[in-house]
Amino acid sequence: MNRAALAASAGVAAAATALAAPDGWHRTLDDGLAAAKRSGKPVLVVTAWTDGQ
Amino acid sequence: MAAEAARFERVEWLYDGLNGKIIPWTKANGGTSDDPSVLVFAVGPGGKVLEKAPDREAHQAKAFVEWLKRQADAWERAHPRTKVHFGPAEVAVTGEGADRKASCAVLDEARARGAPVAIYVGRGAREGDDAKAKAEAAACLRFEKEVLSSGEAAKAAAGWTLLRLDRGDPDQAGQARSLGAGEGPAVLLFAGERNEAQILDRKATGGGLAILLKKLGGAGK
Repeated sequence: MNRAALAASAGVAAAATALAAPDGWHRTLDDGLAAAKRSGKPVLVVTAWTDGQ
Repeated sequence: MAAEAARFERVEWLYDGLNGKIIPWTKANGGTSDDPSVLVFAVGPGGKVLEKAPDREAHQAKAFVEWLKRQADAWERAHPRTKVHFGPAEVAVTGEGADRKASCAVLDEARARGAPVAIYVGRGAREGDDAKAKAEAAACLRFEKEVLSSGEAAKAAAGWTLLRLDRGDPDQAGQARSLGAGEGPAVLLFAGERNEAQILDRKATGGGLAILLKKLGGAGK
């Protein structure tokens, strides 16, 4: 499953994934970790090239 | 899949080139390629990778949902969401050796103002824990499920600054010790002009915590 499909499946508009992080997704690990410290949730990290390969 | 993904903070981390920092991070955490495709990791709030999704699960929808669910279930079992929500205390360390000192700016500032502050001293389970650490982590988990999940205590905690120290981290353990808690679980309550904490240990109940929060919180106003 590529990045776009993953994001779309997670309820995020696929078009938004082309150049920008989809809504509700953090763009860096540090941002995700900071949010996780506030929310208490674990972090799901998806690493990908910009074209979703 | 959306429901399972929502149980995580989600990061889309785009590779910053072959000489960037992301690919080395993937290789340090189970990746094997210098030119990887999409990889997926579950990571704890402290930055430790809990698991890299095996490719066969990350690239197949049904298996991926099951992997997400397994990771989220395991995390929530080990870290129950308490009704009294203590946020992690940011502990800064200065000095070396005998002069090494841990401090928490939020705590210091709140205490200086006389604002009510409650600190939960817990311990998360870690790989390699010895029997004593495992027992302490288990006691903390019970305390979180019972005492810190009290609705009455959550209501009484309104207006309190709520911080959490994890004794599995040596610096946070040092900070907890300096405040009077040498083991978890414990709740330290500071309010008003008192310099010493009122300490509730593992024998505390949710009702008892609520009473103290109300009493000391009122005194601190």
